[in-house]
Amino acid sequence: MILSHAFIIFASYAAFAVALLTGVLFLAQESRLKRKDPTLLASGAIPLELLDRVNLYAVVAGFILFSIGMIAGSRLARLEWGAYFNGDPKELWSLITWGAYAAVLALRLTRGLRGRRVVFLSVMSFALLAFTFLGVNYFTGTRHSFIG
Amino acid sequence: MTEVAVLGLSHHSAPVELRERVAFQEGRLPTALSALREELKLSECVILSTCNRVELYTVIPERDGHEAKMKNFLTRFHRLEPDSLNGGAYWHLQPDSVRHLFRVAAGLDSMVVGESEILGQVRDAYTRAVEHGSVGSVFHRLFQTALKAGKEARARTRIGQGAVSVSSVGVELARRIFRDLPSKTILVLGAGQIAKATLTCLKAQGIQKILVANRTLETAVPLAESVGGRVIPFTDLEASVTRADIVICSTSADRYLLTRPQIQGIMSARRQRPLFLIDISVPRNLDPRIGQLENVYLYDIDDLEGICSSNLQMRLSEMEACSEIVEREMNGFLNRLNGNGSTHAPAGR
Repeated sequence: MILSHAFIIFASYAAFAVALLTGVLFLAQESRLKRKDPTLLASGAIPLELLDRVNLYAVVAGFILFSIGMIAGSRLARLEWGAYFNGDPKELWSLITWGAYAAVLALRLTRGLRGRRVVFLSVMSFALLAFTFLGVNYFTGTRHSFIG
Repeated sequence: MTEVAVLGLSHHSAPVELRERVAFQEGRLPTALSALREELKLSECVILSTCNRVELYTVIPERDGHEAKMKNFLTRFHRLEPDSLNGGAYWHLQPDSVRHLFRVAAGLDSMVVGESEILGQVRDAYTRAVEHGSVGSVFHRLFQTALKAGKEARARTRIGQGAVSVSSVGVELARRIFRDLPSKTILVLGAGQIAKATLTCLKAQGIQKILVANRTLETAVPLAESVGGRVIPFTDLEASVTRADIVICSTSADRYLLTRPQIQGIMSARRQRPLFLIDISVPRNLDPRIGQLENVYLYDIDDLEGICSSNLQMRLSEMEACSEIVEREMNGFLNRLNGNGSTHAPAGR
């Protein structure tokens, strides 16, 4: 059970990494287009619309996997530690990260936003994800130790 | 001893008024090739005639007197006064003649450095001469090597990269914004020449949905018909822009036709789908503050020309590297020609 929890969470990280990559490419190219960079056409590029679309799909896929991974994790916590939520820093930061990606999706799917601001939010959400994955282990005492 | 010679006029040497008078129409090329060979007793000849150059490549038996004979042929064929070329023509003998063809094929001699159309035009001129039977072993080898060198120069340097006309820059920018260009809708406001050229370039990308709006119906209808578009009323611009993905604006209006608040409303109505606005008009027809809006990309004529100029600079900076490739290929050709004579026709094209 712990393996499936970890596997699903890592799969969500992979999807969010795709969102990060497409997001960074989008922001870089969008900035050049807005600045009217004269050297813009000297190199190849992926269309902004495609980057935006892949960014959305990657966030959707990552969000679904992350949600399933968190549910699997909470059921595991109930079995191992006695409660679905135990206030562990990893659990807390996972919820914050989940909330950030949920906000990105809400803005995209309900408000119909697209482009720079929501793509930027998806990139920032990955920073939260990175902290949840690595930072929590370094800076806090968590029961989600990689070696423990 | 035979050698390759070229008599020509190009945009470097002669004005368009003279070039158009000595240009060879497609239908008259066979007659011209026959006349050239028979009158000057030449074994091989190729005529390259484009809007920027008219060049007669020949294999001549000896140097003396051929420049005058060729000039005489050109003026007589076009029924011009004998002195009408009047310093507008150039005459090159080996190795300059060979170098010239290689540079032409590589786009180094073009008005827009590195443009690729010339390579196809050289190939066509060679093919037409082959069909006519005016090409022998020297020119088979010369033109094939020049075409190969032209391709190689473009592949190994950036001489042909980056759009260098306003219309092609517009297309390249659209390709960087939109995912599926053929599914997009273009709206054309006004009917200036650059707008038409940009529209034609975009249509060549497969775009089918074209809307044309003009204050005068007499101008809008012919433009719409020429590109397979639909005329729409000029009155409700906001509704038209809401439907479009690319707007080309080129009217003579002396005020902004669309302002930032209008486009802001339009973007909400189109659920933030990207909008690409090309404002070619002077004075500008689109409020420059529109460009600050998210998912809106506004380019005016200066922005487009700035990109053209930057790309042209990049091409010019590649000229040296390109010339080195041309020189190497040319020397290789001349060595083979001198070493082996001209008795061996190449195996294929």
